[in-house]
Formats: sequence, structure tokens, C-alpha cells
Amino acid sequence: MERGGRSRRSVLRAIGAGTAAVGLGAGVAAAGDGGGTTRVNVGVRPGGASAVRSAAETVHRTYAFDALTVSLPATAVDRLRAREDVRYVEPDGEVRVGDVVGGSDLVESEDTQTTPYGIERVGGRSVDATGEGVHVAIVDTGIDATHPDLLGRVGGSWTTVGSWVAGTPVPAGQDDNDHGTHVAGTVGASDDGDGVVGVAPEVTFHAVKALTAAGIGYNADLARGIELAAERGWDVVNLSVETTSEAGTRILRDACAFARERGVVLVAAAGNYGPCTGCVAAPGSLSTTIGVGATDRHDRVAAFSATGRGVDIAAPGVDVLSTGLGPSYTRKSGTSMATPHVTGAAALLRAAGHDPARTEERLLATAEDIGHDGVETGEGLLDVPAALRR
Amino acid sequence: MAPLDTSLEVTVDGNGGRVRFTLVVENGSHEAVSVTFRDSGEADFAVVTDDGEEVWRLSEGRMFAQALQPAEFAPGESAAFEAEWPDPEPGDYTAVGELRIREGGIRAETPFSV
Repeated sequence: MERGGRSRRSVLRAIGAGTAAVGLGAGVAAAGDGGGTTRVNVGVRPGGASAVRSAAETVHRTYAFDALTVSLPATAVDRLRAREDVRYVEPDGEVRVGDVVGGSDLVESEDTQTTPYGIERVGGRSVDATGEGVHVAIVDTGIDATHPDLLGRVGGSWTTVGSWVAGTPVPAGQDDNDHGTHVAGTVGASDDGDGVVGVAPEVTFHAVKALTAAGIGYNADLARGIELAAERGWDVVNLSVETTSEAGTRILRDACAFARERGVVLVAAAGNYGPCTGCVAAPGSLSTTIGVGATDRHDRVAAFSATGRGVDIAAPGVDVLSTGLGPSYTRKSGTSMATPHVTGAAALLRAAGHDPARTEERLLATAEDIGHDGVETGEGLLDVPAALRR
Repeated sequence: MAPLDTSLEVTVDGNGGRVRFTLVVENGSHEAVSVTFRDSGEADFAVVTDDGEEVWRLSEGRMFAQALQPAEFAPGESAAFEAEWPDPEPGDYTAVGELRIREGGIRAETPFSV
């Protein structure tokens, strides 16, 4: 990958942010230990919710998919786990506050429109489709709705970051990192003769802020963002995030299943933990999401792209040019950057009248064989014109 | 990649109510060292028992934005990454701190008791 020309000052600032990144959250005790209050996500069967409510000191959230986020005495965890009407009790982790560590190459703004190589490579400019009328949720750090390439395109703004997260809240859906804005630009930056252009330049975005300014969040907040998409009837959800642990993903599994049953197409990053095998984590690994691996401009598999079960398709994810905060443009690398290419394509298919199942099927069945193993790139590289061909 | 020096400091507060970890990473060489964080989780911390059982991990239950984050350590430059284990159970443990970087291998361990 291309490394940014980082000055000493900028590195110090970045590292300084890391230093400030101290855990201040309410925190979670080791499950079942002697003291303290712990925040957990609990999945229940009929009747189980009342037992959880009785044990809880605070009920933070109740989900439509038979789960709750509650704070309870750590001593209650094992007791709940033993119940027949409780499916799981998993810790919701602890969030860190602090600034983002910058890792982007800032690119000079130009008066003419640039087509990023990834948009070109997947054939995004070879089709007339625009995704107009389709609703796409970016569940991420938010979206900068004032960016010239996204202006007038953000339909609704939401925040699902929990009340337990320390830090200064920003207006709903507002991006204080730049990750979500970068992702949105690849999905559908406006085709306006300026800046950059995305795969689906006329979709309606919904900014769902589930991650903090540091780009970190809780599974409960991601789950709520996914549930929100299902409640609102949005068509496609972009999930450029991963959990790293094996545990703690039952609530994500529940949330994704809930949304998928209601017709939401879910597109998720494979994760940046490569080179590795069998290392795709949730939500990318789930059968209810399209898991996306990353390639570079020469169709090589990005070394960081996680491989294994769960990778369904690939898209460009190395040195991807897209929208940054304010009027800026940045290059970033990651499976986060590959994912929105597929999200944009899914939006084009939904706009063309394909139902969610047909949309997923066409994306995968028409992917271009670029000569890699299925565990690396799934069915192959996203091919937008082929997916839209009648 | 030139090596980075690491040390992991563990502070148990007076009544054992919380444990703080500080992972200090320093470039002791005369050349700049570039690293790439894999995602928005820069450092991870874990607590393991003498039996090797992991009882706490900072990243558990959290999710991270999947964009790479390059950074550079100038010669002599150091960085500190901190975390806190709330409500620890009394016992003997080993703390592990490591950078979540593509280059790998930047980690330190420190035994401690609550």
C-alpha cells in the first residue's frame, strides 16, 4: 500500500490521541465474578425477558428480535445463563474515547470530476443506472452531509451510540471521524462534474452513527443500527466494521437475521486481519450478509484482506479515493473501502426491481473470475454491468 | 521493520477496584519505523490466569472500522496506549498488551496480582 507522507507532528498528534484513549466506560466485569455491575446483551425465548428485567439494574434497550441490553450485577450472569428461557448472555465490551488516528492521504480537491479506479474497475461508469429511489443506510461513524458530493443526499440522520459511551455527543448521524463519509462516497457520491463519483450516484442515504469519533463501537449499537434499518424499511445496509472476538456476536447474528427476513440486503466487510485463513469475523462471516474481500488496482488480493468462509465477493479496497470531512477527498485502504462498492451495486439492482434474494444472487452469480481462490475473493470481483444485464 | 521496544506497566489501585494498563512502545533505533494499524482498534489488552485462561480482553464485544491506519515512529519517539480493567476479581494474572498492527509482534507481558 501507499503510505502517507506523515510528518512527525502528525504522528505525534496521532499517537497523542492513542494516549488519551483511556477506557472510561461503565465497563464489564469478567462474567460471573464477584463484584460490580456489568452490561450485557441477552437473547431470550418467550417468557425470558421478565427474568432478565427482574435481574437488571437498568434496561437500556429492548430489541424486536427477542434480545435486551441491560446492566446487571455480575453475579446474576451465570444464573441467567442457566435458564431455559435465556438463549445467551454476552458482555457488551467497553468503548474507548479519543480522537481518530489519521491514516488517510489527503488529496487536493479538483474542479473536474475524478472517477476513482475502483468505480471504473467494477464497471460503475458503464451503466446508466443511478439507484434513484433506493434507501441505503451507512451504519458507521456518521456521514458529513455538508460534503459537496453528498449534499442533499442524506435523507435521515440517526445515532445509536449508547448512553453508556463517554465523550461529547455530536448531532445525530454527524461524522466526527471520516470513515463513514468515505464509505458513503464510494457507495454513491453525486455525479455532478466535480469531486468524485460513486457506484450509485442517486441513492438516498441514511446516516446511522453507531461508532464513536475513534471509529470504535459496541455490538449493541451496531445491532440497534441494523434493527433500525429493518424498522424503517431501508433497502441496503453497509457494514464496514468487524468484531474481532469469537464471542459477543450472538446479538449481531440476531439483528442481521431480523433485518434480512424483512428484506434488507446487508453488505459487510470481511475484515483486515490477513494474511490469515478462516479469520472472517462477524458480521461479514454471517450467512445473512454479503461478505466483501479487498483487491488492489491490479486485481491482486490485498494482503490484509481476511480469507475463509464468509467471503462472498471482492471489490477494490487499496488506496481508494473518496469523500472526506468537509470538502476534502482522501485515499484509504481496507475491506471497509471494498464493501461500499458492493453496497452501491446492490442499490442499483434493487432500483432495477430485483427483490433482496435476487439482488444477492445476481451480485454473486455475475462476479468476474479474477483467478483467486473462493476463500479469498468469494465468487470473484464485483461486475456491475453483468449484474444489471437482463 | 526495525524493532520497537515495548513495556507494559500495570497499576492496581488501592482497594483493588480497578486495574490500569499502559503499553509503552518506543523506537530506540536511529531509523524511522513505519507500522500499519489494521483497523480503528490500535492496541489490545488481555488478562490471563496462571492456567492460561483468558478472563478479560479489551476488544471483546467491540467493533472496529475496517480501514488501515498507517503511522510512523521517528527515532526516539514513543507512544503510550492505555486501558482499564474494571471490577477485577482477586487473583494472580499476567497482563498482555499488543499493537493491532499488520507487522505483528509488538507486544509485552507483565505479571500482576489483585
